[in-house]
Amino acid sequence: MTIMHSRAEAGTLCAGIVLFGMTSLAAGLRTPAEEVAKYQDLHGRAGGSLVVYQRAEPKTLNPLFGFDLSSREVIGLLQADLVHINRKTLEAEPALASGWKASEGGRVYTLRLRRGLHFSDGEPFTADDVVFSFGLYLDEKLNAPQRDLLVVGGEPIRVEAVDAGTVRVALSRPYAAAERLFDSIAIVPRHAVEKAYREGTADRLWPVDAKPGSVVGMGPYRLKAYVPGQSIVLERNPFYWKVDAAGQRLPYLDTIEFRFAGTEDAQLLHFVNGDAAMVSGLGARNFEYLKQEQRTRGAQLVDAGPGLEYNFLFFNLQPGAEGGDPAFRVRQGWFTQDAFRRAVSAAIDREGIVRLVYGGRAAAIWGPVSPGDRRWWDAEIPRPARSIERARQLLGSAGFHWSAEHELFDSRGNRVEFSIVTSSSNAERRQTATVIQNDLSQLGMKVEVVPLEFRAMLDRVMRAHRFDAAIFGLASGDADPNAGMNVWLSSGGMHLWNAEQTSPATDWEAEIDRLMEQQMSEMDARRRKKLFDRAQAVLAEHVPLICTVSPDILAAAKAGLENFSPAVIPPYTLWNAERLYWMTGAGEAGVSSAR
Amino acid sequence: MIRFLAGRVAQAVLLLIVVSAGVFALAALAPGDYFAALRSDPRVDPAAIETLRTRYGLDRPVEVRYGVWLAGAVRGDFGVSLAYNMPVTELLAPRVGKSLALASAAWALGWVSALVLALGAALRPGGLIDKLTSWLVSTLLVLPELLLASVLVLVAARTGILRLGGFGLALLTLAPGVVPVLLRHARAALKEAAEATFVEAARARGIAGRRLWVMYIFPAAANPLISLFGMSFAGVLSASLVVEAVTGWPGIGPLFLDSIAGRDFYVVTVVTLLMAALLAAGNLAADAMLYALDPRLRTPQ
Repeated sequence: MTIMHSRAEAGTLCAGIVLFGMTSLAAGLRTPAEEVAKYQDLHGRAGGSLVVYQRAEPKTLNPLFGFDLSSREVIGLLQADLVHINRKTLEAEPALASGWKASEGGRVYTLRLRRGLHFSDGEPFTADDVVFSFGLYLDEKLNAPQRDLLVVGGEPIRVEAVDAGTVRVALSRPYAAAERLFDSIAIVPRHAVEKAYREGTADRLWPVDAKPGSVVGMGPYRLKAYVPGQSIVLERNPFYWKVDAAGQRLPYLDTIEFRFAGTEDAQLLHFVNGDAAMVSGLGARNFEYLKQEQRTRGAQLVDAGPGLEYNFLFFNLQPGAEGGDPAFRVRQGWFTQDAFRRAVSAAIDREGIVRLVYGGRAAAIWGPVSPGDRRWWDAEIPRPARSIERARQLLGSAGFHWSAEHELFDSRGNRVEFSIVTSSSNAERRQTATVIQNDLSQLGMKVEVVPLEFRAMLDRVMRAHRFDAAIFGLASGDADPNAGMNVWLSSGGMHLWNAEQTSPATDWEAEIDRLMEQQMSEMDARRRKKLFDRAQAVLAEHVPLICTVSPDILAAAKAGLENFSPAVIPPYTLWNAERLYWMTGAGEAGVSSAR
Repeated sequence: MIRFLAGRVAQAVLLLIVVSAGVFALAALAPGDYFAALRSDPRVDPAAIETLRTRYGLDRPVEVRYGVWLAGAVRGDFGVSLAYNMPVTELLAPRVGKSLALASAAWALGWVSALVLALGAALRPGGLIDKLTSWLVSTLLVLPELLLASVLVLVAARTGILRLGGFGLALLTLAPGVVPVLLRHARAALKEAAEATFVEAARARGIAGRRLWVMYIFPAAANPLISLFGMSFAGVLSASLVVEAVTGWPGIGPLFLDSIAGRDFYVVTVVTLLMAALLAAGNLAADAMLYALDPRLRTPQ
């Protein structure tokens, strides 16, 4: 993809019409020419609509407080950011900022804004809007969840306007790839938001039932209609700032309609029924069903490969967990031993999980970076095949022994038995827990699987720390190690196995802390990769998270929808909504071609 | 009459207070809260989640939260949805109409079907219609609504006869669940009234046909059915919540289930309260009708 910047559009439109040309000239003296982004490789066809069924209804259109997936998917089409991570290449690309420059050893970033752009209500976009927007995100009283992303080295970033078309961002310490921080931080219009902000109601701005004209942004679409519980319709933003090779203003599709299905199965039914033009986030079974069902119908079925989600088993190493219960202290004595965790890791049949649970549509992993994250995947991380024999050796060397009935006991004669909690609403994780239960029974361990409702499980594991072991999956919105600092730093609130340590509990955690801090400030990409590779190696050696699989991203679209290209990070299918278009004669309404 | 109704209204208000307190207590017992889901995002610091909990008062004791909510509810402020960040009443208003429309239609269809079939059965006891209704009641009673809904959704998806998420699909799923209980009661009431001694006496006096049914049997059978009248609507509305979620009808059902899973407890409280209020209103209406129709209730003991 090539993005170029053009300023010529307004002038060519009025060439030959003298009076209009003079008016334009006069207008041009007041505002700079529009600096659009041009896709040189894009030759599409305007018109038509697209119907998409979401699993849940969006909760808000407010970019500061929309944190559920459905809301973010819609907000992503209404708003734009300064720098955007291309969901396909995973690289940072110019968006509202046409370019940026790091200086002072990575402490200062200067971003040049595109000139002459307008919000969806026709008002001009300036550096003032950028400064105002960051002020909102960083306001402690407002406490937007994204605020943490913009706090670097314990201090919030400082954003100031250099002139109408330039902003400077200062950080308290060097921060590698800081431009990625700006991804998904929507630049909101000061003229439309400031009043609510001053009145202290910015958190209630743009509810899902907001009046269409009141929701203003710089995304490819703007709000057209909302029917409670039923649909949200977006229409093309006539002021959008991207054009194709022929200078045709994007997006191509006139409207995108989101309807709400409730479940993955319902989403699938609507797609099969021809109501929906695309479907994403499919499980392996539904994808296989669709493959059979659509064999003669020509739908585009895409397995985009492993996403960034990594699933893992981990043990509770939190000191004082379970209220210091003596029986738990015995179990925690096993969990804290490297040999015990390595033995469990060696006994888990990852390929079996891939085959049995995911129907082959996942990748077995031995570390937290999925092979889908091409920039940070480390091929050198050991990936030993499953070995019960090796697991038994490790346990034997740590003083464990077996009874005549092949039951495992520790050196003090305690039977090795513990429970694994997992989310009851996630079928794949439940099945994974059962496979692991079976694998560990071959080591003589007695494992009980406890499926819990999702929020109850999160509360039990992350707040109450009342669990032996848990199966989780994590996925960051960005393919960069800095997005996972909360997980890897021993002081991090999401350092799941032993959170918020005042000082590292082990030498290897201290080493990971050091490596992660170093990579965060390292401005040389190759050196940074080496540092993170080493952190991955330490994690693989001490296995605080026993990683299992990264599921594939599975999606489908009707025949005739061009540029459909599912990505590995959300939004999986609408990340390039402005480039999507229907081939001539194909599903103009988005509902007619699949059957 | 006024004293009678005032007593019933007082009972209903007490019921609503008990229900709301019960829902709050249950919500407090349930582990996790709305913001727990943010804990699965590695980029969000748990400290920020705690700040959000504090901001929305989730860190306060449940009795304090309930007191604040109750004081607001008296003034018409039923709280704010944590998920949608908008007043619960605004969130529910457009959906309540959809749910009421569906429940009313299913309820009316259920009553008409049940009464017609019960009358057919009562006219010829032991006849074909009587046997068929008996079979129908048994079948519909053992058929779970969820199963019926799933089958109909699949049929709709495969055949295109009914639109997924459409009114027809939801109505056809919901109405059959209403019929068996009503049919059984209506059939029994009509049969019992038709066999009553005063009806025998009327027949002996030469009253027969339509006049006998309209003047004697229907009024006598009406009493137990009127009692069922109010309660049945609340029952249909409750059943419609699940049916709406499965068939995709955009009433309060999908929102309610989503709110339970998401711990959006003000929404859960108000929807539960709404159900209780409708149940109380239905019973109140039935009581008023019985009071008006049955002279025994008006006679001082």
